[in-house]
Amino acid sequence: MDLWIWIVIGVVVILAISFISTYNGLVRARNQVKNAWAQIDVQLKRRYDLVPNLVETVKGYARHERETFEMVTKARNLAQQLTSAGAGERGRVESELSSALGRLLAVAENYPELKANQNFLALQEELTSTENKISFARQYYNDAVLRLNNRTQEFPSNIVASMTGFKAAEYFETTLEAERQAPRVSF
Amino acid sequence: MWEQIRANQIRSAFVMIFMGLLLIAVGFVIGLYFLGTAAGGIVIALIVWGILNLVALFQGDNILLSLGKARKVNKEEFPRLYNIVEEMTIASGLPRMPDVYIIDDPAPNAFATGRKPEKAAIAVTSGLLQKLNRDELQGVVAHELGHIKNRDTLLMAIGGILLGTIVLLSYFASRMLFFGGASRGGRRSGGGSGGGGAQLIIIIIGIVLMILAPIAARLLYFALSRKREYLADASAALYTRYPEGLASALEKIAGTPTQLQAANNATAPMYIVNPFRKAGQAASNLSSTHPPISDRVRVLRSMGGASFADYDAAYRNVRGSRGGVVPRGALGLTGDAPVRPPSTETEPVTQTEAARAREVSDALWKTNKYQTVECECGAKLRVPPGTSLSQVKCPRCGTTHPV
Amino acid sequence: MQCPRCHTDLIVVEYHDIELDYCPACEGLWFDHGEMELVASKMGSSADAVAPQQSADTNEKKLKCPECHKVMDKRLLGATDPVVADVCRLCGGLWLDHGELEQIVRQHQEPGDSPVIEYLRDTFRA
Repeated sequence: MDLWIWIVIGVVVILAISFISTYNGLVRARNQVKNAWAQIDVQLKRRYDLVPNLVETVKGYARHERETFEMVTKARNLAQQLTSAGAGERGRVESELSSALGRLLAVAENYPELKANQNFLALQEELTSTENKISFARQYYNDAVLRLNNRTQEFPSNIVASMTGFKAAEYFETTLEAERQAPRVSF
Repeated sequence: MWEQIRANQIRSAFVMIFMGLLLIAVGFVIGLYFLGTAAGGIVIALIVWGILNLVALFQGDNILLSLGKARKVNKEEFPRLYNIVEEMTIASGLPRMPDVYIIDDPAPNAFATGRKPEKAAIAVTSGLLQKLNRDELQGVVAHELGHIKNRDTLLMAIGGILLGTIVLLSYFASRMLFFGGASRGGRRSGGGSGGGGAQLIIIIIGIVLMILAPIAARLLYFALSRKREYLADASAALYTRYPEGLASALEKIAGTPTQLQAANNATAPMYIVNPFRKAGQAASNLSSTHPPISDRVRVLRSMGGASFADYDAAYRNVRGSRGGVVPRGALGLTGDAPVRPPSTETEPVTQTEAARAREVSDALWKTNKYQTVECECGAKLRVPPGTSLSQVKCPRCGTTHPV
Repeated sequence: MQCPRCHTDLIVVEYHDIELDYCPACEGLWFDHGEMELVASKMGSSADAVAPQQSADTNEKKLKCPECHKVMDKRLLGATDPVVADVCRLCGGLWLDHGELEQIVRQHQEPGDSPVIEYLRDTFRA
């Protein structure tokens, strides 16, 4: 009789502990996703700030590329309006801005004087690095999402997740994804 | 990446425990021979170990940086390097960006330091900045941040102190045993009952242990260090998604004959490549802190993707070993990690080696607070800070410039 | 660093990616250890024309090394009409007074004789 009470208590305690640790693991995974998303946000904002400067500098040397300037400015403004949209939607708009900026830098290649300008070089370094930071932040974010989503789908953590209202997070994809990937080479 | 850190700690903990046991054994022998009580010797060994720990604590994380004549730099001085460290901080998910230091040395190398990721620092030589392009520098920085993320900096610091204690104790003990020990042992045997022959055997065993202990400790420490290098390479590939960057950087570094001036034996394991390697030295022997560069490059180049699983597979393939290098718990932490294309298209156009050399040297002079006067004739005059000169004449064209 | 001769602050003169320490007052020139070889290798030549030789027997005033602050040796330098240069035994640095540089350069009047000399002649108007 006494023994049974102890067994029941023991099972309850073990269940409670594993519930708590699973829950904490889920919270940790969700916080990583949140932090990673915040980092993407910081870098995207940084890029919005850089674009007008870059356009102005390039304009000084390449007056006749109006179409490119307009395209970049339009893409930037659209992206800035959609900052509160979801990861999927935002990914599409931001990759349009990326490709517009890529075209702007390609245009700059045709102007040797521009390429020798110290201010332009500094901006180019900043833009290159910001693009990198965006893609590294996205990389880290998607890995964090993968870990969270695995936990919300795998047994037994999916039980805890559904009980406490954890949902799978959305990946940050870009439409350029396919072009950006190098072909996998096997040796 | 909690699981990754934990798995590393378990594996490395065994090595640490073994080194700890060695230290206790050394203390045991010292106690037995000089104090007549084994426990006393162990206490002495632990005290010496504690003192060395305190010394390390007070000198803090900056000991490596001060030994290496490193100078802290900011974003304005070295924008490219600073940006790359920022990029890799994001990719690795470190809680805080490490401080960035420059060592003015033509030998290309880099190291990371700091017991906690929150207080970490990374140092690179000016030679590294000159020789490597953006992708390569990114690979090296990612490797160093991998050391910080995997807690190697902490681990190697603890291991280094243990090693130091064992070496120190057994050095003095073996001297004393060799020159004074026999008479002591003789006196004790006179009081007791045992024969002189048995005593002699025990003394010899003691001497042998004193000679072998530091060697064993060193081998353990180096083995630990080599495993850590592979793991940091795996991290670098994952963070950058571009294993070729690090591979090509390692080749460039290996092709440079200059030896780093600022390194010494104690700091060697912290560098990306062994700063003491001799030209043409290919051997990966037991007494090396780093695996041979050719092996590291081969593993990186045969990766099918950039994930930990890809590195582990490539490692097994190249080394022909069944055991991998990445802890099992870390293998499934990331999804597919396809390799990205090289970043030459977006790379600023000035990045030839000569242009980089000029950029680095300009930035270094600025960091040293020299004032630079560019003369119309093409010569550059660098005036030291706090000089009494009010003007300088260009030796080439004779133009006078105000300072 | 200060000039061993007149104690003015040395400035660094950079031309064609080669940096040398130079005294703006007395126009002397300081070569760190290996710097002469560096100049030579960048110019694609050997530094033989300006390698210091045997020690000189002279009453010239002894100078202190600007790097190590120890008294330097007097060594002969140059082929036909050698000058008395100051060489530091500790760090291997080399000091040339203004006139000395001119004297060495004068011995190599033919253009293309030694690229190192060419470089020094062009940069320091010697």
